[in-house]
Amino acid sequence: MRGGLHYLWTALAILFGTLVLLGYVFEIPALQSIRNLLMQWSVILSAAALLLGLVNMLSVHWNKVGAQEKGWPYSALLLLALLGTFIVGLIFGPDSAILSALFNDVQQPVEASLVALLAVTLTVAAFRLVARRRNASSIVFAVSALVVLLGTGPWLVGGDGSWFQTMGALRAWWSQVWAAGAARGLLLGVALGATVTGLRVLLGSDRPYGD
Amino acid sequence: MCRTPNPADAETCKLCGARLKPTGRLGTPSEEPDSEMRLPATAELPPWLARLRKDVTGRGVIPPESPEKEDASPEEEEAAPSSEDSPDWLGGMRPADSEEEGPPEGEVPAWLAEQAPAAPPSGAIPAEGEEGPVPDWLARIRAKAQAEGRAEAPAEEAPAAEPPALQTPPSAPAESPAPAPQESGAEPTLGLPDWLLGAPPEAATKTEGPVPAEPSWLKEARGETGGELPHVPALLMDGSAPAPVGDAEIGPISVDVPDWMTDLQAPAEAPPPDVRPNLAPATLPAWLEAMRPVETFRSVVEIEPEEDQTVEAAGPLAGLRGVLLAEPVMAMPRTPSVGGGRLEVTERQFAQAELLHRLVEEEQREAKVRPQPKPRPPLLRWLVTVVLFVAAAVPTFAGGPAFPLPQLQPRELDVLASIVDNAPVGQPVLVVFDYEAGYAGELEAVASPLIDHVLSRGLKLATLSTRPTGPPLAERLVAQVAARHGAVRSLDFVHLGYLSGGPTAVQLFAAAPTQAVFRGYLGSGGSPWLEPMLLNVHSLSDFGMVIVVTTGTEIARTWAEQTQPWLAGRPLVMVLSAGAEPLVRPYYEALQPKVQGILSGLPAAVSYELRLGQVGPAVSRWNAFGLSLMLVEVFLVAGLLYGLVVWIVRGRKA
Amino acid sequence: MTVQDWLTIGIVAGLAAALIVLTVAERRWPTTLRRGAAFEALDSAIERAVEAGERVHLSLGTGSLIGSDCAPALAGATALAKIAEATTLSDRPVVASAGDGALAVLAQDALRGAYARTGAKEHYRATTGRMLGPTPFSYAAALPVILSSEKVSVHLLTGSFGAEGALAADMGERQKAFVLAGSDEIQTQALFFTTAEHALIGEEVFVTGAYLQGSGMQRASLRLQDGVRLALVAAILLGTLLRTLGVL
Repeated sequence: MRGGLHYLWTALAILFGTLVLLGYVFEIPALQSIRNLLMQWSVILSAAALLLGLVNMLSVHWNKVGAQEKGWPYSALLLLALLGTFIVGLIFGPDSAILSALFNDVQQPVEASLVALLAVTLTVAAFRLVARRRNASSIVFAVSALVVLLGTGPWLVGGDGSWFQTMGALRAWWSQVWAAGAARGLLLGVALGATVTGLRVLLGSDRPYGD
Repeated sequence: MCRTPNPADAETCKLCGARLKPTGRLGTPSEEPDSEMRLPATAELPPWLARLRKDVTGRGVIPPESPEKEDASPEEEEAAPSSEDSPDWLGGMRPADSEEEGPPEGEVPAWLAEQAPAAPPSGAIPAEGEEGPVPDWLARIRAKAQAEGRAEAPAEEAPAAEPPALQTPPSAPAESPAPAPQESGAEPTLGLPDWLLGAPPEAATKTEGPVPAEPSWLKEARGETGGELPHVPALLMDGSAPAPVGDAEIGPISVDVPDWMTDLQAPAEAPPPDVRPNLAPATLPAWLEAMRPVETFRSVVEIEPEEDQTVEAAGPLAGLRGVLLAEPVMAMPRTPSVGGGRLEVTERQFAQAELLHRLVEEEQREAKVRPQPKPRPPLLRWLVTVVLFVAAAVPTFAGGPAFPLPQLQPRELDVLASIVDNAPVGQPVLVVFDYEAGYAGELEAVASPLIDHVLSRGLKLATLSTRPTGPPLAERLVAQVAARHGAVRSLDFVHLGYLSGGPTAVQLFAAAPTQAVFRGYLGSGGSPWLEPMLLNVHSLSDFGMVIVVTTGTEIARTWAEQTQPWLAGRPLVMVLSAGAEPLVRPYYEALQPKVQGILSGLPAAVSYELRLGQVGPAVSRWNAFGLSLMLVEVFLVAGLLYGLVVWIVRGRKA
Repeated sequence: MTVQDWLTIGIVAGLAAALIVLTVAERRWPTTLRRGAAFEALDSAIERAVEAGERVHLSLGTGSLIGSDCAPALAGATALAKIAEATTLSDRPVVASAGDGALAVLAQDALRGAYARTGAKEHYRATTGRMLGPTPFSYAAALPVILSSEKVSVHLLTGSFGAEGALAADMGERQKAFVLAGSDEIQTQALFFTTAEHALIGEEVFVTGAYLQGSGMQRASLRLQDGVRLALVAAILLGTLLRTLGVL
């Protein structure tokens, strides 16, 4: 029976994927209605999966606190914050002033700090790039980054001069011709890879949903 | 056991240390095999054995020999050794009944016949003086036989009395006719065949009776097949076994039988004379025992009485009596023989042994716990953090260096401004906030002048987000800008809230907005489509303009591609971070652009604010932005130079 | 139906047919994979981790399962199944994380299937596939905990990442782990180039499964991608030439 269920899931995946794909191509009202219905189901399931993920996260940190593993106080703090915010949102609603204050005064500053950390990380990584990876592509990368930065930001000295204008034009040409062109090529490859990956799922070869 | 020749009187082997002489009691001097060995009387032997003896030796009845006679004739029957003198390991076996039949008359068992010299083949049986190395035991036997034989006279005596057996049943006198007596005056043989004594082959021919067959070993040497082995009675202990044919009658050898053998024996009562016994005796006559090679296990083991037997104190057999003591024997220190015990070790073996020895030693040694190397402090990271923090903080709080504002406006700014200026006033503008809270610092500064421009024209705003954190971000920016223009929520701007489903939901919203969103954010609690400013909105094209504020190229492309069929010519404007602009610009610069307006990066936002004639968040961040960017460029150049230097130095070293 | 619709149908059907044909031909003419230093290093890194009793961590990204950003996550799930089969019976089996609930469930399914295939079903734990945070930066903030507490020595990022992917890769580098990172976002790929030891550029994130002893269809799909890419290059060159000459 286990083997029969496996074929059932594969058949369902193929069927639903094909229906959605055909619903995008053929302008048949029935097909488009089925497509919309399936997409709405996927949206609902995605929201339900978010809840599942939260439950999974809860269980992981709960086990960590229970086993007193390394870093368990942070897990306890996470559990308290999660449950507290959830209860406040249930009681007062998601658009209450309390939750807005929590968002504006806690979450937003923390995430902004992480973005600032990202700036530091990228600066350090850029500094070490050529020393760590001694090849031509690293040098081209570093020079490209320098050109874009010089062409984007203001200059303390000579910001009104011709060099600043030239650098601006160079930056526009470098990023919109070379970088964008290369990026388009990469995007084509990514699109191909995504298409073929989807095809493998539609043909039942890849079964990421398990056996 | 190692077949090393040893002197005749040696107690133990010089090479391996094995005992050469059996111990009567363990640890006691061994007995000479020929010390007190006596031939049993003919009457004491089973008939078949008597016949064999006669056939082999040519002697008829051998009278029993008294134990006091030390010079007894070898023809005399051997007295049964006492239990103290010559114990027989087979003595514990119940002697067979005298009426048991042995091999048929005239038939000599091959194992016995081969002991007797047959028709002398040329060179097969070595003559006296022509023999090769003779075993010691054989030499002793010959010597003794020769010495004693000269003083004996063959005599035929009546069957001897019952032997003083302690546990063995008496054997009946042999009823078979005695074999022809050996001629008196003949050389004494102790009943041993001439070839064993070294007698000339001719002597063997003087025996009466049928000539015994050639020994089987001889036949094998000639390639002839030997005769059938005679039936040797099995050493059976219980009475249920079938009566063997030709069971021999064990000689009257009395020995102490161990308990386990006693328990296994048949009932003590003698079987009736007319009943054939089932068990066969297993004791060997002394003369036969004398022929046993030294290497094999000597059956002459004196078994102590039970009371005198030592009790085993160690090992798995602790507490039992009559157990072969392993410790005294196995643990007996053996002195290494001179020149015989040296172990030859090759170089390789020595090295391997040393390695093994070292490995074992290392196992016993406690391994020192290697302290974990202290993690190096990330100095570069700290330096960059401090520098960037100072670069952002100083211009913000202290004014800092003033970077010149951009003088030239980007071309797309004019297009954008005209789009906003030409947007229909009666139709609300949809603003999609699709970025994470962390990017609020950049995107709020970039989107602020555009929102400002929209509200300054009196256009209504409707916000939407495909991320859960989008609605609060939208409220944060719009409320801030609306405060400058006196705009009121629900009248001038409405939050449609969170659109669940990601990119899939974008198409659903584009197709039917009122069916994709049911509850707003910070609204009256009901459907936001019931607000006055949205009453006339039923599709995406009912909005005057769609503005997407995002940092991700995928989101921008999704909105650009998924909403086109439903926009119906309404302008789509992208507000992007500087990093996303290169990949979205092609949608703007295409022949059939899907994006009609683009605003990306802080420089463009500063230009926009300057165009609007106001100082907004973009201008206020300009100096900090410039200084931070300049220092990052310094780090980048330094890293590039450092990398090149390292490259050159390591290249030279290599 | 418009021409574009027919073209769409034709392209999809043609690609599917070509994929099937190439899969059948794969048995007779197997695909020779181009040598990838990153994938070769990945193989030995996984073996080292199993032998040393250390853990492999694979991230499916912060995208969603419904949308174009699910493709690298699906590719990552395929790689996850292969890696899980190699590590089910080690001291520390592979652990998968995601920034989305649906991707976390996908990871659990992939792990459960791998354990079942290797006969180690009883060793499967649902917490080996987990969601670290519902938003990208909350995911990045929770990553150092899993890297240090689980003794991760192989850190794989195969999914849809934004700028937080650079933080995630850098955290693995600071942990002295083997870092292999790939995403479908071009910006993120540029960030991975600077922060990760081994960065997957372009569509390399989709070929991870094929390099990890993938099935015949996975290997055939690489051949298909190469063929279509060559055709696109030819079409672009031809179109540029014709446009330059004023024909188009």
